[in-house]
Amino acid sequence: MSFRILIIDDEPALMTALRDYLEQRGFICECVAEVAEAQALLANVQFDAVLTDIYISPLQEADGLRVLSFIRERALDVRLVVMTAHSTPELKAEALRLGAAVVLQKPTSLAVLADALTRIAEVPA
Amino acid sequence: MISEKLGLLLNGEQLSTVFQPIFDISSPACEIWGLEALTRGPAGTHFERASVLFDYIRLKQEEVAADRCCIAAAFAARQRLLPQSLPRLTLNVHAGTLERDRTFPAYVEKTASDYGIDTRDLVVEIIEQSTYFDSTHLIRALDDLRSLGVRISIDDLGLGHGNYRLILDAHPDYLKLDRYFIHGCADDRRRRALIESVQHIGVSLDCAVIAEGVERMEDLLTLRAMNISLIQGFLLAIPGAPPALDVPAEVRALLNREEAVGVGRRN
Repeated sequence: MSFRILIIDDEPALMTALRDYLEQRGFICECVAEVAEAQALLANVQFDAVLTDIYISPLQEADGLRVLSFIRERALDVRLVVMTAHSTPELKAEALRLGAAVVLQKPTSLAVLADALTRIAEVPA
Repeated sequence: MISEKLGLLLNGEQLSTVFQPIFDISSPACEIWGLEALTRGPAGTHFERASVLFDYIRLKQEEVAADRCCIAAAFAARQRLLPQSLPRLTLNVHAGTLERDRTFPAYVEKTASDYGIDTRDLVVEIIEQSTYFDSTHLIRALDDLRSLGVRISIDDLGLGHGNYRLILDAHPDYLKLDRYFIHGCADDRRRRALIESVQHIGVSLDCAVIAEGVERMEDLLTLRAMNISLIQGFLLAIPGAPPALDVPAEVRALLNREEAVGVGRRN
């Protein structure tokens, strides 16, 4: 499998654990902790999926949604998995409206995340 | 204030410069006309890829700081890696930098002097990835650069925001056509029509046209037939530090053979 995932989160320990876990299962992962860096990468590198937190920056703005909007505006062919510790029905609805395939509540296990990614990897884009 | 991450990224030791030659194919020797300085981010990071690096810089709206750092890195690499005798060095500069950085020409003059580079050997390639607003400041910056002997080129003409307004404002010496228009021009009359229209503007305004992204021999011959002789592309030399400074012998031989039988040039 060469399913390429961009992981966006501001918790380095979580990102590292997630990357290691997913790479052991055959995914190819790149990690960033900032919206602008994610956007610059998405504009230039083809990913199969994006796994993003909704609150990426320490400013407590729902800036993960900006990544979803960026992908939507550019009509990028990429599947979206969103995770958040601060989910509200409104945020979840907005994430789904912007194209998220799945919205997961944090904390969640690595196995659940990997399972979600495996399932969307099996669905044609 | 510049972010910590970008500050680290723009640290002179983090950036590296490679050079890609531009050749003049109008003579059988195909002599080197100039070298474009191309910045790369830290090896092993996302930013090693120039497109990611500069998209990130533009998203952070830090073009001014980035352009200054890239120029300093280019001058240092030019001094360290390349023979003194080489001709022009071309530098990419955002239109927004020319508009907003009121001391940019003085910075170029001072930094060039620090590295023993003659400003008359410099060409500023204006990148217009986002539109500029204030023609007055841009024009003043270009006038100041011209007074140092710097020549002006418009990069990526016809792509994105790279538009005809800049031709009027910048009074360029060179118009640079992007690979998007060049690649495949031998087989595509639409591409040839666009190239010809730019060449026509160039002749009318006394600007030379530079074709970049030349990767196929048939495109090279087509461009020569259109009297475009300043050529950059992987067919002739890939970017390097230092790069190859001669056109590959087989390309030169083919150009000269086509010339001898009268193919590939149109008057």
